[in-house]
Amino acid sequence: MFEKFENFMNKYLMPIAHKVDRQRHLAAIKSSMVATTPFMIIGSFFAIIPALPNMIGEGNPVSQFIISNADLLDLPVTLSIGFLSIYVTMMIAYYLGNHYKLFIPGCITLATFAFLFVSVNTVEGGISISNFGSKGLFAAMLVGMVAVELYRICKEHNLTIRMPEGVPDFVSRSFELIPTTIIVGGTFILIRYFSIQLFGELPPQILTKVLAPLVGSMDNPWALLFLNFWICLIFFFGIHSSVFGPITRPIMATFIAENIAAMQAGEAIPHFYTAGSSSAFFGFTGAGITIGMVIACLLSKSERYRKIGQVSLFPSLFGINEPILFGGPIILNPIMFIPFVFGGAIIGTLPMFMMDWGLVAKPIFDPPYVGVFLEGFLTNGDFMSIVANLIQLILTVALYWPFFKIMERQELGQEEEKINQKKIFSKDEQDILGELDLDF
Amino acid sequence: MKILLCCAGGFSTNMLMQNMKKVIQNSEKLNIEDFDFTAIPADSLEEVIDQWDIVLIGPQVSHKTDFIGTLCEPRNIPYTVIDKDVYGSMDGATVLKLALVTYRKHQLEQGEN
Repeated sequence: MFEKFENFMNKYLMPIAHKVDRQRHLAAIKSSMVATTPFMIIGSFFAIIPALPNMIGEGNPVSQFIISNADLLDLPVTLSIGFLSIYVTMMIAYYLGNHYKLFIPGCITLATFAFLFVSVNTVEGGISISNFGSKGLFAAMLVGMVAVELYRICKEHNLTIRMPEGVPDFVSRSFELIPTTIIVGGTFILIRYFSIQLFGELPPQILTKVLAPLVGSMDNPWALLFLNFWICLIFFFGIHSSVFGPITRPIMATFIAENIAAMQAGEAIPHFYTAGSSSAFFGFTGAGITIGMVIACLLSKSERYRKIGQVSLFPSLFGINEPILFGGPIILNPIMFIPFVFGGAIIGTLPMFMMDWGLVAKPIFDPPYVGVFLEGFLTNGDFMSIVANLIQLILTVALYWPFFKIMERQELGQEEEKINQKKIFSKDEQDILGELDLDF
Repeated sequence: MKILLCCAGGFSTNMLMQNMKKVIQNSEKLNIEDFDFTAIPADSLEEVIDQWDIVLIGPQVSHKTDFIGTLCEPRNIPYTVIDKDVYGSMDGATVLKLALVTYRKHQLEQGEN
């Protein structure tokens, strides 16, 4: 029964995961969003600083400094989160250009040029940057990809200016790009023109409206439970959840940017699902909330399980659970299907429900990896996050315990007759090992 | 010998890499200066692969093995997926053996052809 199910999933899930990972545009989106992580961390950190005078009072020198330098302290936020789309355009152009082995500086400048054409709002005396932040994110990804594709097509069809032999390479490269730049620039200025003529709006606004249902649907704890269920399910079959990255990461980036903007404006924080909250709650001690299994292993009568528990404990505290997933094993282990896939999804999403019920504050900061408990607290500065993590901890132990006991009973029965261990190396390989004459 | 490990984020292979280093340090026959390690996300493999002698793949990214193969084969770099149980116990000694054996096998094949 399980074998049939496993075969079925392997037949259909593996190829999908494989395709998503290899698809060059999706891979570029994922990588570009990962590349913006430091900006999100620094940006959200600086966004909190103006709130400090309210917390510690205005009479002291620290508050005075913050208040009198508000413009300066705001700049890191504007130039990181407020310019997110520009950086994403550049990174998409880089990764996609790298994939096609195109001239990278050309890809980046062309894509940025193209994005500015469709996103700049002219206001009196200058240009508005309102589309450069999270509002322009989806346009940035699309424009970056289209610009690089246009460049590739131009190159394939030799739409370039050939300089005579002997002209230095870097000079001829610049000339080569002139027709391409005209084509890319022309295409996007036309898109801008028609977008305004037909819809009265710039492409980023139109895209945001089109994608609003998809993005908005992620702002519901039930939808997050469903997503988390899929994360756990594919991991159960040994596929890392990073295959969801191309869809989830842009949404998380939009959400944290909007949360920060709301905080700065003194409004209610709208979203639950950010990189910080997903890491601190979905991934509390690792996807599937596997710390319960680690603790059960540590307390086991079986020596093998105690050892696995010891190896897994420390990385678990930093959200890394591969040791317990493969060592338990949890992956592809029928007994662990219910606690890992259903339990992990429910316990992982519980803090999002608590946010929905108003018990836990919503996230405003994407902290770097700092370890369990502290990470959750840092996402929203709310001590209730620690309580939520504690509840997760208790639930996971209660959940994994009975299932683990079934496994342990089997293991203890087998442990005595377990002389011939699983063979990692074949006969030939054993011979090579002998020949290598190692001492470990 | 230059050993490259890859997984989803490079975190868990990094732990494994530390264990492999410890094995070499405790070994009298192997010299740590003869070895070079790195652990990276499988996504960034293409950028660094040229400098390495062997690629070890974490089981959680085994769905990428075909893709990794397309990077390794033209460069004549051997690659192999680490066994799930060995990976789970973070058994540096066995993985190091796996690396050495895979590399040696590759050398032998090269010699024959």
